[in-house]
Amino acid sequence: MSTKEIATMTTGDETPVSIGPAAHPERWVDEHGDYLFHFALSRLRNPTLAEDFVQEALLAGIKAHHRFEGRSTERSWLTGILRNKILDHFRRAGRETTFTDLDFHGDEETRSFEDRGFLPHWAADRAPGEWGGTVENLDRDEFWKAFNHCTAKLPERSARVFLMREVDDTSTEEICAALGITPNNLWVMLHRARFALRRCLEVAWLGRTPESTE
Amino acid sequence: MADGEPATAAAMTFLERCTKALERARASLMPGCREMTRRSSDALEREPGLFDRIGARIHLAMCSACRRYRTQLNLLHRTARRWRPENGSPKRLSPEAKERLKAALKKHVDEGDCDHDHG
Repeated sequence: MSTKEIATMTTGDETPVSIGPAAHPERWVDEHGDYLFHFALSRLRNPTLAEDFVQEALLAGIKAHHRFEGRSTERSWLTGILRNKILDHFRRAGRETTFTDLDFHGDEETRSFEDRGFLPHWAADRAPGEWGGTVENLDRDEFWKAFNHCTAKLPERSARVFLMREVDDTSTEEICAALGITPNNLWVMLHRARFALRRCLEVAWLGRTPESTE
Repeated sequence: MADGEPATAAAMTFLERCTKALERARASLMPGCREMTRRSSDALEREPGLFDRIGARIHLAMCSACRRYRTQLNLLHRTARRWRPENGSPKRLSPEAKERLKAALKKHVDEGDCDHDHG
């Protein structure tokens, strides 16, 4: 491929960007569209917004295609762009949201424990059940269905924080900076998200005492 | 004894401080199950203090429910990283949405006067 094949364009006052023939944006939609969409939707929870972000990420992908060096797969490279776009979005919008989500888990947590002696102990019907499994056991489609179902049921902010931390492995500093919260806030939110998620999985995935889901 | 009063007050403050410190140590060393769920989550995020760690050890040794809780949280922690958007009936783009995306991308490339002259 000669450099002549690489068209150079200038958009406004930006530096010139080049698009190599290797960039086939329409192919991206077919090959990675669903993947990126589900990624965005699980974090943004709004199909229209998710679609917008996929578009934004793909457009950014076209512009930055010359920087893609094939060190990762095209998909993970595009996912990285999308992830950063969403993080930016949270950074802009995040500070307005209040901590109402924290109240949500309060009830569930209160119902899970009862005072026995002078220390709160697990309520008999809420104590964690036997999962009897390894990571391999968990890594199955039924598990992921329940996982998607349960993370979707978490309050938006909790789910966002949980997915960023546990799935994307974003650092504490990065999350705190993006959401404008302190590490202590983050740890409390993570604790509550994990608490609710574990409980929900036990019900949705292992079918244990569904009365408690409300 | 003119110094009597302040000395007593100082002793009281000192005693109060001791009581508070003891209470903190007790809470640290003897957590309830509710507190243990918090510690199990925090253990994934940062190194606990010495008393908190000892207290958690003792509690876990005695409480099978909290042992399970911790094991399950750790499992979840390791498994979550393997989440992929294609796992477990993912949401898909509608055909219309795909067309919209393609059109938008095409427009973007065309507007950039990007002429791929293939033939």
